[in-house]
Amino acid sequence: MRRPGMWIALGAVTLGVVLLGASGCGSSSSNGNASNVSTGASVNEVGKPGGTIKAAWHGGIDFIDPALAYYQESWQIEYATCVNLLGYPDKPAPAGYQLQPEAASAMPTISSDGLTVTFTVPPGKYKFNTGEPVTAQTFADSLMRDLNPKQVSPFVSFVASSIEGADGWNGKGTIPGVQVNGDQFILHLTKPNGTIEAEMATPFMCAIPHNLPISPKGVTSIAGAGPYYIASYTPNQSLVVKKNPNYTGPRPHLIDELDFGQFAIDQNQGILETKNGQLDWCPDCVTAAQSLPLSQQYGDGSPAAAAGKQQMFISPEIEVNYYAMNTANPALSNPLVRQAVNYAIDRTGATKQLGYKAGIPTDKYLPPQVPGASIEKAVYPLTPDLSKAQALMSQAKAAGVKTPINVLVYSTQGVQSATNRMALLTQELKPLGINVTVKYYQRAVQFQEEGVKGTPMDIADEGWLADFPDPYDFLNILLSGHSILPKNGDNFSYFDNKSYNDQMDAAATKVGSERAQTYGDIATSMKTDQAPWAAWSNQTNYDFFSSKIGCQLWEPSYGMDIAALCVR
Amino acid sequence: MPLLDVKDLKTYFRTDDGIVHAVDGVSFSVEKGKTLAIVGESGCGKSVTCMTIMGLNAKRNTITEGQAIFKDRDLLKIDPDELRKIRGNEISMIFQDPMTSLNPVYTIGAQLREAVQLHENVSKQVANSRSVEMLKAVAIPRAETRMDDYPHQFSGGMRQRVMIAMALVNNPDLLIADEPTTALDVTTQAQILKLMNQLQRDFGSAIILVTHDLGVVAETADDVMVMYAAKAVEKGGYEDIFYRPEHPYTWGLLGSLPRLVAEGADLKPIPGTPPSLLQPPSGCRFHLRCTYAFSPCVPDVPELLPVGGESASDHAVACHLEPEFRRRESHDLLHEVMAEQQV
Amino acid sequence: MVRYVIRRLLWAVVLFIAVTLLTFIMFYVIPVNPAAMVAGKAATPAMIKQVTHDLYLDRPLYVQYGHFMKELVWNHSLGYSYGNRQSVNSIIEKAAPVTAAVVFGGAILWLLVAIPVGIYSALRPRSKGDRVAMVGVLAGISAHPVWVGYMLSLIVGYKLNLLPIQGYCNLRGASAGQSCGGPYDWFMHMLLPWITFAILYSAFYVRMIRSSVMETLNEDYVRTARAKGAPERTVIRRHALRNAMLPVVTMLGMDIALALGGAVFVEIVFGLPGLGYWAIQSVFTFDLPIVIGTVIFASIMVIIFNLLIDLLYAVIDPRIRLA
Repeated sequence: MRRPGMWIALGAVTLGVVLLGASGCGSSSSNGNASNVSTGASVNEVGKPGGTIKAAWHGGIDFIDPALAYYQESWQIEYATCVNLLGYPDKPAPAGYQLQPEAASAMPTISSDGLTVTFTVPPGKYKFNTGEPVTAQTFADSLMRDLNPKQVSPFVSFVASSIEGADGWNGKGTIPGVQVNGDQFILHLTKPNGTIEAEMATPFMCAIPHNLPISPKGVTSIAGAGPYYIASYTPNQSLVVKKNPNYTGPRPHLIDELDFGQFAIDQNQGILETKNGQLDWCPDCVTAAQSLPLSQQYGDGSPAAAAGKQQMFISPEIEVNYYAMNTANPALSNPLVRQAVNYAIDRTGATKQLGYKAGIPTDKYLPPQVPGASIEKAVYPLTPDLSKAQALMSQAKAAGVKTPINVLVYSTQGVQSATNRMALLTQELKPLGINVTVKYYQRAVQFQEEGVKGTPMDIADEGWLADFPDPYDFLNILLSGHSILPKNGDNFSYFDNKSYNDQMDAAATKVGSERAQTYGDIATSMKTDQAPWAAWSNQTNYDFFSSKIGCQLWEPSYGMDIAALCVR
Repeated sequence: MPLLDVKDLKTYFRTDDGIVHAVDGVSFSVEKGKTLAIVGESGCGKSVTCMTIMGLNAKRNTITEGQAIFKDRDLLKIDPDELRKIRGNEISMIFQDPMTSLNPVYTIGAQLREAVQLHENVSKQVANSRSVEMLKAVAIPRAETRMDDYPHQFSGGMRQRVMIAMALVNNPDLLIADEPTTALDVTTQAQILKLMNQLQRDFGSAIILVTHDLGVVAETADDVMVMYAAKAVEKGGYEDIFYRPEHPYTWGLLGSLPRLVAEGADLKPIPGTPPSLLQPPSGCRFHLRCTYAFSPCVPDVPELLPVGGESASDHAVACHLEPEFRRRESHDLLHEVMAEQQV
Repeated sequence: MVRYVIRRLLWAVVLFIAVTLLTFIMFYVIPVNPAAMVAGKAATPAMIKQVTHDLYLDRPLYVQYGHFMKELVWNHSLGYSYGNRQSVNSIIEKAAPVTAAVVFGGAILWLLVAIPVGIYSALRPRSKGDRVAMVGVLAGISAHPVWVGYMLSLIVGYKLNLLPIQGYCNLRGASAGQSCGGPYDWFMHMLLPWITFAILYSAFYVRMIRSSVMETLNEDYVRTARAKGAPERTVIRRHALRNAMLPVVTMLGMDIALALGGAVFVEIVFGLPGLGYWAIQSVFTFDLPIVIGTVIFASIMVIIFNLLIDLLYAVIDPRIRLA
């Protein structure tokens, strides 16, 4: 049971990644069609080694302790400083979201019943900056530490239920499901789990030095076995990442050092300093208001970019924005009405409200980086098709639906683009005989209210950012009946369809192209006949660098790739 | 030769509403060791007269004309620094409200010593002993210890004694006392006046006593000047003003004096209110409130002229009434008062 | 005097309890479950329940408050951040010097400006200089510190490149990863924040000092001093200013105390991780322990400064001493 949505929701405030917001001046931008968002690496630059990058954060990070780190920003750091059993290569999409062996010598062997997963870790293939070798035991250490109740790691919620003896482990002795045998790291599962590989690739499973103490507050100093390691960290103040001298792996590592000297920089000031070259990078400084002028001056297609000095990058996140239509409440219980809504909304228009290229309009439930997204068919139009919508409404009326329908929409308070979007939605649904009432909440309160079973909410104005590029993270988490909880649930459409529940459960155990195919098909048929959602866009991310920095690479799972950066 | 000879003194203030004629051509003189009382209602210009002589009006917005000859120097013309050296040394001043006239954040001693040291280059010890002496002279008990007390630790009467001590500490030739007893209760008033009389005898200073209270005048003054609406309406010796007053305004003042009005009889306040000094009335400024006013009073300004007759030569009055009539009326009025008092 | 101090201290305790309780209740009624935040985005219901228990959130309000007060008074602990589990004490320990640097430096600057200008204006009311000063005051009061801060950064920092645009440097030297440190860098980085901070306050103080001095100059004891023959300079310095500064001292105490609670705008614009920054940040993230921590720290500051000012006042004004 994963709840990334909540986290991005918090991220919206803590990190300045205003998810449903991307607020600001997005209202008028006529060139806001996001068709030419770069999908991966910027330039095929061959960087030279050396140099220091001076960086700062507006919102800072939560932890550097791999058991606890969970901000997008901290995962970016972990990606540069960690070795995992399996890893995502430093490549743009689509190669960038294909898991491949890293510390493990190959992809794991999975027993025919799907319950035993075996990784082989050649000892010493990777070494920590301290010289300590990475072995199979390293990953057992990491997992056991995560699962220790004293560590209070969010990873417990990811895997505890699927690893034998992990659920409810008291932290003493060993876990039956976690085993080390020579250079083999073996997991015994309680049920087949198609996401186990992806889960083992998350930063929670970062290689940690042996005997790293349990620390519920998070360790502030830790050796790293990735291309880089964290040389120093002072919470709320500074972070220094340095090249790991013992790294012999294939990942890039050009710059010598990356310094985050400030965790509380003002966004506008961060941009000024970056323009000035006093600062090289502030990952969370570009606001929607800044995005257009920066793109025009420094972005893709600007004269600067033509001269090989692009500084502004817009890259897609593994994210989907959607209206969740509550199937449990009478107002939108008829699938015909939900389909009509899907035809009536202006996905392009709503996306424009987010800001300059702040999103890519879509009707797909699966973001493009996720396996199965290319299988999922586009069904609904990106601009409204009112006649089709009205035809569906007539059908619905014939089937006994009475108009006008009054719906209650929950949206986010204090975000201009959300307010604009709600105005759009109200207008779009009016011709269908659907009267919209909007209730605005603080973001943290909004999803909490939406997640209470029996809520009077009919439509949730929502977004979802994935932990890793897997369809499970979208469909099973957000649309399975199992995700309906009395409180803190994530299935905001309260969609509980036996046939689809079973299909999704089955899909979760599949791997590879079969998995992609199955999920893609489920998404297509689900949205065509049941339409529990109206998905409308995929979010993008802004990054702005000083002119000094090159080799920007957007790794689809973790974002801007620190290990790949170079000094021009 | 008088100690201070003021001639045709005019003080005008520029304000947002226009020019206020606060003092409009006043002449008087003070003899050595004598007391001149300046009497009149509030706002008649008596305090401004003193402030002008002392050079204490705000320089901006003030227009001053005339002469104030003090020991061969015209106080209105001399260099401000010269005047400063005279202030507090040769001419001192005490004020109406002893509660606020002392600086609350310094001890009495500090303020007294400052007065000494501003004018004489003496040591702190010397300044201190002179101050203590002065405090004793104004009958402050335990003067030595009280030097270290702050003003708020003194009563109103005691503070006025301190003010007097401070004014006399440099043995001035002239003391200007601007309503020194107004803010005090009756018993204290009497004590302070007694003290002032006694000190005048001991130190030989001349005094200008500004007051609206004829009772105070009766106890101290040698000469009296009655002011009304920025002008002198009558002046003369103590006896002239109290026994042979010739101006209807002076009659009014005497009529409203409780001690001169018999028990049971009504006080007779002067009807009306003092005129605005922004645009003073034409002619005799008192004509609006004067029961004797007749045709010349409105257009013509009466001159301050010697009275003649049995009065002293410096008894002068500014009134259009016939001298004969004035004398008769004055006699009758006073007789009436006396008669009532005898009943 | 002793009784006076004791009375003030008792009052401070009452105030302290009231402030903490109020803050506590305010966050108690907020419809956000902090346990879900601590547990992380993937929390299972069981895990949320465990964290809820660990954080005392499943107990009644008075037990929570009692526990909080016990931790505070007994262990001097303000608890731990929900966000990154750092101790609130350590956060405030680091933030307070930053805010103190902003506030005291700013106060010195604004007094350096406001006292001479205010006195000048009071001595020459309606003169050209006074009029210029009053227009400046109006502008200073009207200009929002965020705007002023951005403009100073943009013009002085970015366009003219005279001073650093923003950021905080440790006085004692750079810690790892920071590009600046030491007294010189610290000073240069603080200049724009000080100016920004001082503009608003010096405007207020010029106006206040002007009116206070003008009022004092009309006092009888000032007239007495002149009548004594004191030169104008002595009259103003010795007799007028000391009295005129009494209300200024009171205001200064209040303003510094309040600002120590959070010079919010300046800290945010210039990226100074002080108390104001943390207060705002933690309110946005519902990080209750930090919010309460900053509120408590601020109220302690207000209480201490009020006490100090009362005592200072007694030194300046003898009338207070015996009262």
